Amino acid sequence: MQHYEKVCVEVLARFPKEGGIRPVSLLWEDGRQFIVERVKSVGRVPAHVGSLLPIRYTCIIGGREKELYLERERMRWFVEVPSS
Amino acid sequence: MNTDRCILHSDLNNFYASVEMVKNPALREVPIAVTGSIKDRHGIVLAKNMLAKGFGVRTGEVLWQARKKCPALLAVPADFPAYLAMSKAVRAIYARFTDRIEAFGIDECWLDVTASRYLFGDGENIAQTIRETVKRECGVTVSVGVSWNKIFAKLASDMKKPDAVTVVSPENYRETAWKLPAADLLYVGKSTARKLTFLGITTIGELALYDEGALIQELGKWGKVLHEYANGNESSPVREAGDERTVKSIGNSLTCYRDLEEEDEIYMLFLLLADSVAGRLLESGLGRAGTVKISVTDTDLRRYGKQGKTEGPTRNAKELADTAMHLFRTLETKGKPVRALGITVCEFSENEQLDLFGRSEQEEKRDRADKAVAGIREKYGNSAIRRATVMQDEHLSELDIKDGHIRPGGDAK
Repeated sequence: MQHYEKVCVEVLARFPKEGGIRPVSLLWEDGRQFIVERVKSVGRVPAHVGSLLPIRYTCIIGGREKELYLERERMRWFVEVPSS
Repeated sequence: MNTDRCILHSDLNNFYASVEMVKNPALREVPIAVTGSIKDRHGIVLAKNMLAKGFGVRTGEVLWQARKKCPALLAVPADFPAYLAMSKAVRAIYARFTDRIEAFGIDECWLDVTASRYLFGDGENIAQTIRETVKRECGVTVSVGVSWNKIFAKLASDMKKPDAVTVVSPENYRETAWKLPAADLLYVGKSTARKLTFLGITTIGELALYDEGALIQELGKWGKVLHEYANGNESSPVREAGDERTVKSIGNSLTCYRDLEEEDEIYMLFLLLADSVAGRLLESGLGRAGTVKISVTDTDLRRYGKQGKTEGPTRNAKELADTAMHLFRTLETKGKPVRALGITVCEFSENEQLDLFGRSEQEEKRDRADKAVAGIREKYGNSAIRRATVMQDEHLSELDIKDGHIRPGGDAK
């Protein structure tokens, strides 16, 4: 079974006037910044890593589909990185 | 028998343990038991996962007993805020299908989907959709029972676990619900089950077919109720979400971090509990309490209880503690040290009891003092003002009266 590691990331987000939260860009640990080109879907989906009721944002980043998770209670974003 | 309604009973499987596994997926690989605080000696198994169940670990056991069966059992301290958050999220899913949701504890709900069938398909369909949605969105599983009444719906949700839907219909209830032990029926406790066994009743079907008159003779009016339940004649409405039930009692209990032997120590704990109960009583606006019940658990885990009237309706902590202590003195506890204590108050009178000569100045003063204390606690926290008696014990005086350590024990469901 594939294992994942939870990596918390810094995210710049937008609060649209119609409500909700939209990630704009993601700042990686090494200082690189990745623009979120599009948010394809948003919904409550359990993560593979430990997290209580996160919101999953399926995003297009660098032309590829990536999943960003928001833990609303702690107002914290994370991604899942496959680990060996 | 009115079979027009469509009722679901949804039960979150191994709830506390399931939430812990969502929080930490590594726990899926090991047998776990969710326990109360071990340091404060709430080391009782509150829930377990399927792996622990396989070793025969049971809810309600003390941790060391469970470890005898399963030495590798991992104890995980309970995280109630997380369970509440999950429970709320799951109820929000139910609310997509109906506004008639009645909670039965943190992990069970009845849903009346009679009218929802026009929108979402029949009861079984709705149950399947709910089951899939809860799993997909929350990562925990539910067992859903479908029937025309609350009693059979609850029985049905217990038949197949985890992550399953079971239908008890007017066509199949004789082959399904009726085959179950009578003790599985809601509200049949140990003592009723024993009485039923004496009558030769072991299954729900036998209960249903038993002569109602004879049951009433044996069990009183309760006999009639159970007979109706067993026959699927139950028509109490599923309460609407947010429709609070009338609170009939307020109670708190506490397992002390050490065993108590001296009377003044016990009184100290009663005061601490009474303070909390009195605070909740004031907050609830239910008025004053006329009856105090105490529960005592000794070091052999034997439980004793007693109830008695207060001198007059009161919400004063000291008066409640005095009544509790008086009751305690009349208990025969076989002289064992005390491990846990509880106070519950009930029989509320809303209006102030007017003495023939009006309330004494002393009473007025005490009431004002109680309100001032409540005010200070609201503004600065529960530990901002404490009783000097309680401060004799450092550990006890550190307990936050309302948060965490003292559990609501006697609230009517």
